[in-house]
Amino acid sequence: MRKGEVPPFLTIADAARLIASRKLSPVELTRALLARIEAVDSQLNAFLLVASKQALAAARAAEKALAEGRKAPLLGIPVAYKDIFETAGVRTTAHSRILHDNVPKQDAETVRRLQAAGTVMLGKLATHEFAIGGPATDLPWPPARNPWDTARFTGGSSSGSGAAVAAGLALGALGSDTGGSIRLPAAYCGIAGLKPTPGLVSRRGVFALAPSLDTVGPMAWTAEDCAIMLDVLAGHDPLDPASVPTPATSYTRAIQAPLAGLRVGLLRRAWEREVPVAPEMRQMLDSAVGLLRDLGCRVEDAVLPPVQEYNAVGRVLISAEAFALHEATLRTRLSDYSRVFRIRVLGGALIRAADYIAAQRRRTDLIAQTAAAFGKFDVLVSAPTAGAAPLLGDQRPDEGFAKPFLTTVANVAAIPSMVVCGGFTAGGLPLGLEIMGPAWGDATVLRVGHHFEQAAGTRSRRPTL
Amino acid sequence: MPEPPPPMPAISVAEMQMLVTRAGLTLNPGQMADLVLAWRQLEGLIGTIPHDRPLVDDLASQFHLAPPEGADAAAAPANRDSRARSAPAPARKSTAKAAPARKAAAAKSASRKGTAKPATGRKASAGKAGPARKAAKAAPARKATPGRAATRTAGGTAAKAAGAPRRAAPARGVSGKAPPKRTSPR
Repeated sequence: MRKGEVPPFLTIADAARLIASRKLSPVELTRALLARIEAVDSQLNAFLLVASKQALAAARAAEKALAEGRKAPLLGIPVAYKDIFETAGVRTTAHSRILHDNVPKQDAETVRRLQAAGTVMLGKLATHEFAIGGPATDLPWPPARNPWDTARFTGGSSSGSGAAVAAGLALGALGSDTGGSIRLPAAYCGIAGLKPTPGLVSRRGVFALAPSLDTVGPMAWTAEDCAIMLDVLAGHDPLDPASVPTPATSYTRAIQAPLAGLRVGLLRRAWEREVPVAPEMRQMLDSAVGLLRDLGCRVEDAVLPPVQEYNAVGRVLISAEAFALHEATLRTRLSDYSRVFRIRVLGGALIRAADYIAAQRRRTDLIAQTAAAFGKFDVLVSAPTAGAAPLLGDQRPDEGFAKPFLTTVANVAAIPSMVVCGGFTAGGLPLGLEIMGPAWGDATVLRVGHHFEQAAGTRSRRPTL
Repeated sequence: MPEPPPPMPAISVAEMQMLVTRAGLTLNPGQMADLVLAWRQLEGLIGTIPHDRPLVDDLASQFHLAPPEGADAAAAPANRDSRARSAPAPARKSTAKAAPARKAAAAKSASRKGTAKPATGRKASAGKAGPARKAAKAAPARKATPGRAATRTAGGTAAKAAGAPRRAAPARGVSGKAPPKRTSPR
């Protein structure tokens, strides 16, 4: 690579190595990404706001720090945030008319940690309104589009995060996940996304959807990049009441350990019978099983309670909690919300307290039953979606909660889960592979994702725009 | 064992309209039609969640008091409770086994309510404060609304039930204002 030249696509790990060896300047990298955003984001709508001035200032600061001898894996790495993460002095809308002019005074804790680590914020990313619902056309900003085929859905709700990382507009992004909102866009956009164990990553300064299920986590091109981000993001935040003190862990080191002897459970019943997946997805899962065996894993079928049970609990909790959070604003500004948001949330007004408590109690059982499965397995593997990204035009606002999500299992069970790119359809659309671990098994999940990606060789293929 | 309750009767659109009004919402006909559609889906899901639990089962909504001053955080009742729950056994069995420990923990928590209160407010003394108490000190003392307290509790419960490697009960922060921003003041 010649000096001053910026490769069109870089992972965080590659960019960090080039920056540390002074072969790549953070300012040049930032300029290249801002130019790429300018060139292609009109096709994707991934960004709600591009913070060019702040980005270049942060890149210059990173360059100065580098010249002064500072070494940090994320120094000078350009990232972007789902627009439910508060950013000091930078508009944060939650993709909603309700917060159209909201400019927070402080950063979310996760944003603060990434900025302190030397990252460069490129801007704020599209989401489903307040991180729920689906693509909406009755909001001030259009929904994000999938870089592999711009007629297709990105998945959500971290839609802009998925699109921006896949298209190489940002090297990493933050997303949030209440029922699958990191992992669904990761699957449809062909990237890696981790929903961590609840309590591992602070949620302070992030707009809530359903606090008993919400988590925030990294999204990047590879599992290794997610591990690099998690090294910075994980850690106790005494001002987040759900944050838990945990021993310091180097996720980047942990993922290097080989997989030989690892016990992998396949949730075959879920993808074959409960939420039947497309034939191409089934083929990809079969190949994935073969690769995991080649990597030395012991692979067997595993069974959890039915996916629909997790979904019933998750959806009752989400509706009730989201309605409670938005109640006051819904009373006064109902029409300012999108139709898809109203359909998903208004039903919460009718949920009885007894039903909400029944859902919480059932969740306690499901957490225990899922934890019991990990007595026999180190990780569980499943399909995050029934197939590749559907057409954006086929997304109906009144679909509501009609279809169960395979990803909601991990939210209700309070376990870490990540999606990596497992392969591609014949038409070139990515297919995701979901890897779940026991609570606090985030390092193992990332490790499996990392080795799988390397064995599958899916990371050399990028969308063309 | 009491008989399981009969399934809830489906509510009519007129009843739904009444509940919506009671919630302070004014819906136009199109919005009402959307709500009816959404509710019918939710209603079906609610019907699949078991409601017939033994009366002695614990409530899922728990909260953890910060340990009283001078107490070893690692020995707080919440910790013992969390270990009991994380046993990899079917829910009912683990619940039954953990019941005595939980009862004891609940009794201790109840008896400490008075002493625990300062730990969440400005009056928390620094002394040899652990992380939880330091955090409580850092957080301005505002009265949490019941709704927000329940929200925080539920989040904590998930981590705890999952066997969180808790060293100290996290500080119970206080929320900002609506719209729904997570969390405690910074």
